[in-house]
Amino acid sequence: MKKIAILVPLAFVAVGACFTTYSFLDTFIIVKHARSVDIDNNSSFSFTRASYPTKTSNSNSSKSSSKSFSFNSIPSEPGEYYEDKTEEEINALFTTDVVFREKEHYSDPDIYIDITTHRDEEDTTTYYVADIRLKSLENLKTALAKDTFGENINERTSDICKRKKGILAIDGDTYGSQEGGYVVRNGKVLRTTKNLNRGRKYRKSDDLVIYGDGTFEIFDEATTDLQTIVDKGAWQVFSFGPGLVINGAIAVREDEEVGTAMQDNRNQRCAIGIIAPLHYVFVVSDGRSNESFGLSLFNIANIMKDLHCMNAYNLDGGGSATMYMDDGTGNANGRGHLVNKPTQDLYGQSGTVGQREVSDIVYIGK
Amino acid sequence: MVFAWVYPLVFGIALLYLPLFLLSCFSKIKYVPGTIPACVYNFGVAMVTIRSIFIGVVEIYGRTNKNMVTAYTVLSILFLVAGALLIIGSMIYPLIKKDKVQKEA
Repeated sequence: MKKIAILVPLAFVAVGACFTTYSFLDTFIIVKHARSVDIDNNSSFSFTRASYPTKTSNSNSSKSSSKSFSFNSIPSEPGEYYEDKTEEEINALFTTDVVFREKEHYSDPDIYIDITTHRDEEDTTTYYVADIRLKSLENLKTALAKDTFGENINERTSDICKRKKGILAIDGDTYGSQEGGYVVRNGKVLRTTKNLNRGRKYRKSDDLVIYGDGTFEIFDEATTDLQTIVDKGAWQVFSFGPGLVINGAIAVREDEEVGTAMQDNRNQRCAIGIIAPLHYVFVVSDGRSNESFGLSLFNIANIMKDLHCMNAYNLDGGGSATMYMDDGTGNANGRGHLVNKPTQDLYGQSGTVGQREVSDIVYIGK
Repeated sequence: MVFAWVYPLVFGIALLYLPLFLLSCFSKIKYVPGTIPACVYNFGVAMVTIRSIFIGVVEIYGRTNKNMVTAYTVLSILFLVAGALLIIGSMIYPLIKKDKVQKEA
């Protein structure tokens, strides 16, 4: 009887411990549904160029407008894009030879990137804006960790960018941490299952599609079939969200937060926006440190709107938020460096800068 | 995860040990759960508590794992119900046996 009184509880504790350990391994470590995919070969994808208004040399005012947006509906018509440069001025931004200035600027015949550092209105947080102009949408790409699709497959943003010989990279939608959500990368459909509950009160299932004509659209995954989006020429589809700016109007409430945010609503942020087709912005903010407290979704949405984004979308922030710049050579001893200061701290304790491994990136490259 | 402390309080103390304590204070029935019924029930309480912590940790890291959450839920309910039935059964059985012996006598 004494043995039963000792052995039975021990057996239950052992079973419980094993099950708990397995559940955490299954969530964070065990690789699932892994398959090697080649998303770099996109010769069959059709890129078309959208026409959009540019400032004429005789016009003194830029064309911009924003449409009103109703919180519970997805607008179907794009507004007019913002442009304050003539076509000649835009072409002059591209350079014949590669121009590279660390943490500031890159240009060549096809790509123009200008990075500026800012402080938010309350002077609590540093954020970085990469203004990007491209000659072709082919230069706006995505890449997967270890070139493998699946859950719990992760790699640092800088390592993926260097391997792809990218020039500028930010983390993506971390699809590998989710069991569902549409995934289309470089024209290839990788996942068709939905993820409708992302832990948010509002705008629960916003996805972003980048079409082959260089335009963005934010749609509701709950009510949209992926095939419809693919048939319209989807180049990339992301499933994190929410949409920050939709057709020129802010689409998040002041109290809105990503369901997976660690603390209150001030965190590191990562966002992508379109000012006009082939004119994009990547915005990454610091947070959870003594220098930078972090931004709310409403803050970052205002920043994107102030940058004249017609559509802007929230990507994975927090410890995943990373902006990395390189010279496009992929050299291990090259000029690659972090633009922002990613930290894994919860409360800014140590200020140690360190990247989190992510499942995918969005990058500019040849 | 914030309410992980509630489950042992409710399922452990409020629903089991407090009623047994009150029963022993106000009646002649003095009952201490045996090893196996107690282990089964306590395992259920542990599972429901760990489930809450697991969901919290997974959400903090921005992950999802519906299969594991379902497994925790099923295990919790199974062991809580099984443990409760075992405890109630082991309480009632001696009373029935005593009653039967008295009738035979």
